[in-house]
Amino acid sequence: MALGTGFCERSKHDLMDIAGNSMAVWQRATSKSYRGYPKGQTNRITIADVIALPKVLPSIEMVSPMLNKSATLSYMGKAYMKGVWGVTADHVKLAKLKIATGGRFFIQIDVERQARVAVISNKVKQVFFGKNGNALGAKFLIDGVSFTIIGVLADDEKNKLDRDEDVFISYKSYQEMYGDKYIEKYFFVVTKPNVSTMQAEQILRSYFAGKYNFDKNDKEAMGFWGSSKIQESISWYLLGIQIFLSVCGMMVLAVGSLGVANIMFLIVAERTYEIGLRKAIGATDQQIFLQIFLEVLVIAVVGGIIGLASVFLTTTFLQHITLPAWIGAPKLSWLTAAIAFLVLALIELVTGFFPARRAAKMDPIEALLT
Amino acid sequence: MNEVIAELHNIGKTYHTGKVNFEALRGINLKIERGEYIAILGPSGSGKSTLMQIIGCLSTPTVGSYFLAGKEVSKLSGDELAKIRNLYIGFVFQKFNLMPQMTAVDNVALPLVYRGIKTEERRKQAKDILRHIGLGQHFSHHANELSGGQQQRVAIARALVTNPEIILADEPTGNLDSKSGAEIINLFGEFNAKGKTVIIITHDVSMARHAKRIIEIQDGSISASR
Repeated sequence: MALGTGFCERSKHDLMDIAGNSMAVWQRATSKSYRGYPKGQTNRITIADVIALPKVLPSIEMVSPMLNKSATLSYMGKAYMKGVWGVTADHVKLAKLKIATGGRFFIQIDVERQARVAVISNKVKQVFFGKNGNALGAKFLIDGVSFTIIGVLADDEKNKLDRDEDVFISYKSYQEMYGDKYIEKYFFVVTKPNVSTMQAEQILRSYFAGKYNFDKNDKEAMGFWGSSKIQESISWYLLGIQIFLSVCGMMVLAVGSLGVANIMFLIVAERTYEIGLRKAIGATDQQIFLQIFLEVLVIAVVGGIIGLASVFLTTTFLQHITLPAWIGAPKLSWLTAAIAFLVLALIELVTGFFPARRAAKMDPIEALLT
Repeated sequence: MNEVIAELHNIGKTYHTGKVNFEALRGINLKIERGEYIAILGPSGSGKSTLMQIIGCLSTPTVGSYFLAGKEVSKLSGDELAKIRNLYIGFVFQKFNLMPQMTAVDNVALPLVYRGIKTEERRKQAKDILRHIGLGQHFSHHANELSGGQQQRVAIARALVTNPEIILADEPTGNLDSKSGAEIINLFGEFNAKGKTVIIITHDVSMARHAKRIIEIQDGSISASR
């Protein structure tokens, strides 16, 4: 359970770290007719619209148009077909990219001047410059246009996630090269810290509805995928894991209970002769019952304490050794531990009650004959 | 004439097994005086063990009445009988019936637990009795560290520790060699000489001869008393 809790928290943290307050936005066909426009209209959001968003909508912190094409990269006669992204200078923050030491991501002034500068992934760097080669300052070609490499993505787990093959240039250079005017796929927005992505969805839909004449309540007209949706899907995913863990926990409890019931039964069965003797020399039913029941109680409490101590020690041990990052540090839930302790203690008391009562009711003669 | 300590009137005991009824005892009339040494003699299946169980309050009769120390005990509940056993009866069983996980002292002290006596006092009384019967060197020995004769002495000490009215011994030498058996018989003789009521249940005529009165049981009835 502790491992599961650690894994869930780690997953939640990782996914939220990637998603943050960011949200992917794309346009779709409208599903409602509006002011004489029939449904099925596809609004053509321009790159300029997206770039202007932080200025016109106070709730938007930053954007990136996510222009993307497959391009031929070449360097010293070696060619490589990879994805090129046209993004804003904010993209490095927005996508939480890490740049290897010595390099940098392009800045606003590079964008304004349409500087031919590029940031490449570690994998692309390795293809052209080898594992230990220096790519910074080198010029290479993107679809025949020369760009200077100013940064390489760090060989980082998070960068590897989906940025292995990419090259980033400014959206203006991209537009200059390919002549793009519209958002063909999707764009990224990051909301201000106090604005949820759910609120941002409403704001963006209303804004573009006013600009492109569609119903602001038409939820089909624009697509959004952001932290709120991720949160929703994560919570289902984590709920699934937690249900699975709970079922496992219950099965462990059930097996444990059977074991406990069996032990309690054996305690009485094994001691039939002793119980008979005790009754013969003067023990009353109540005294026998109390004796067996107290023993059960001691077994329950001592067993519970040993179990809890083992769990605590194992969890502490696992927290201090290096586990794969995706597993996360095991986290002992005291609530779960307390519930397990109480449930088992209760089961032990119930399973101890009946053998104790059976022992108390034993006929001393029959018990002595066993 | 001494005071009557146990008196059985027309005692009968019938066991019901399914549709079959088995009459183990019928029409038993018996008076036992304080300080008597009695042997209840009979072959296997004669009803002598059933009679011992009734005298020892381990079982109640189907019919008749039983007065122990002046009190009618044949209709008492299980818990009341347990208290009576603890107060009036000291049992000695053929198989010794010691607790293997306990020391000799703890075994002997066990009946005192149910009198609510404190541990220290229990152990003191148990040691006194063990010393008295010659087991002063074996206080902390467990049952499996003692010979058969020593185990039976521990069992006798346990029967005596509560200072009961009656010592009830069921085939007490049945599991012993002749030398140890003779020592145990001598012990019973000593206790009786000191005024204890001793009842021995046996099928062994030679052992029964050590008693002052022999009651013979045959098919659930007293066939002779001499």
